[in-house]
Amino acid sequence: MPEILSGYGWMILGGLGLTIAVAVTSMFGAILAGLAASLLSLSGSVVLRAMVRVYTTVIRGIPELVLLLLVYYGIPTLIQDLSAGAGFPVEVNLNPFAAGVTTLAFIYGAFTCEVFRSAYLAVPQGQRESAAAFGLTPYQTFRAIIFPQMLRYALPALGNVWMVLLKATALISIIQLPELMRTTDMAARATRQPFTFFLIACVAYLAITLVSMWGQARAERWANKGIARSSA
Amino acid sequence: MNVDALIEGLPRFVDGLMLTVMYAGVSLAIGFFLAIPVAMMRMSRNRVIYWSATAYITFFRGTPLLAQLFLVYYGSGQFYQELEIAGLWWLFREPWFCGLLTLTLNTTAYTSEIWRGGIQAIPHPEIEAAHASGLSSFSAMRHVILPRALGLSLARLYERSDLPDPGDVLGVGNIDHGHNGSRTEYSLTGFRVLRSVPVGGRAVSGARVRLYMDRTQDRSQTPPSPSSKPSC
Repeated sequence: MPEILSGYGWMILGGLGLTIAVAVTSMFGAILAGLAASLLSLSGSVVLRAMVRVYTTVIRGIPELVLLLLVYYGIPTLIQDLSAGAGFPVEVNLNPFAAGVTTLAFIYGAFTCEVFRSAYLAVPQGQRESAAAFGLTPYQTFRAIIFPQMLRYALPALGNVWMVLLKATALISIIQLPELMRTTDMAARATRQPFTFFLIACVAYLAITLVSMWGQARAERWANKGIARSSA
Repeated sequence: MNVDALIEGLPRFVDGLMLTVMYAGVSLAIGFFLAIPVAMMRMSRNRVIYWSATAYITFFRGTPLLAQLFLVYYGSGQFYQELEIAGLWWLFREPWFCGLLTLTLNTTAYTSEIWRGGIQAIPHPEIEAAHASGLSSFSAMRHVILPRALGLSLARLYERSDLPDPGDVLGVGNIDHGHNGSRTEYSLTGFRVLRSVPVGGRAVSGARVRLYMDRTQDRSQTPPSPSSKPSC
């Protein structure tokens, strides 16, 4: 480990690993939540559609930090107050990793929901009709016909969501999870070299972003193979 | 819920609300204009100019706002002596200055890419026509290119107003108080102050922009507004 890290290299590397773990897990959760919400919003039920609309509108209007604090500090307090009121006082402590990942997945589910919804609508209706004409079940149609085509439309926007989510993981440092931001913060305080360490954190985030951009370009090329392009 | 605490905190809530609106408004306003020269640098044929603008934009779009804020606010302390000699320490000492500086730099990076997208979307003959009519480069920019680019990118500029989360800035000032006292103070004020602000603010600015869009331009020229937050 280089001298400039003053012995904090492994800790920061561990923080980087945790940041990536949080980001990947949250993104996975956000994709699942978004897919489920978008299917609900495309369903015939007016009530379900309205519920999804409220979810996406409210979530997109609230800063991540606020929701994170609300979940991490608010929910245990609420449960404790309620249980104390009912005569069974209990102590609740949320695991910061679980609370952070759940909150981020919930927030970015609202964004991926919009992405999947517009991707679903972008697949021409004729595709569904011909799949039905061939006798495919609705599940088979979605799995083999619609979903691969949706992916092509959804990937660029999903890449955007991933980048924003990655940067939002820095906010989890506020709820004491020792991810990249928190470990560099601790190192910066102990060594009194905040500029050096926060710059290292920035460079680490930048590295993940650049790798992601490269990966996204590859993924888009993969999803677009077999599609004729009019010009290069 | 403790109603007394809420009422007691109301004046601070209002103060915080004003601060949030001020931070968001000032940084967005400065960034809106500052982004124009940055966008032009990014389109420059001079390699040094091009790469310096590209590096600036990549850094501020590729790292979390929280990390940038910590880098400027805490990081400047590492250069206390140099800043003192340069006569700038009295500024960098202040949370409001560091917050505003970072938010402005951050929003400028995002907005400049939106400007660039708008400028590059202008059909080339229009620019040639402006030059052919004898407009100087400056007049062509002022009267033809920028108004056109503004129309083309207005929908995305509005979405931009989502992004600078002044919530993060409030974090900086208050976390600092947390050093001598309690961290909970931060969580309480931060949370109360931020909860309802952005929803209302965005609704108002959104309505304004829509009005302006209806008034100034043909709807068919508006690029489809991406449903996700714009990012890298």
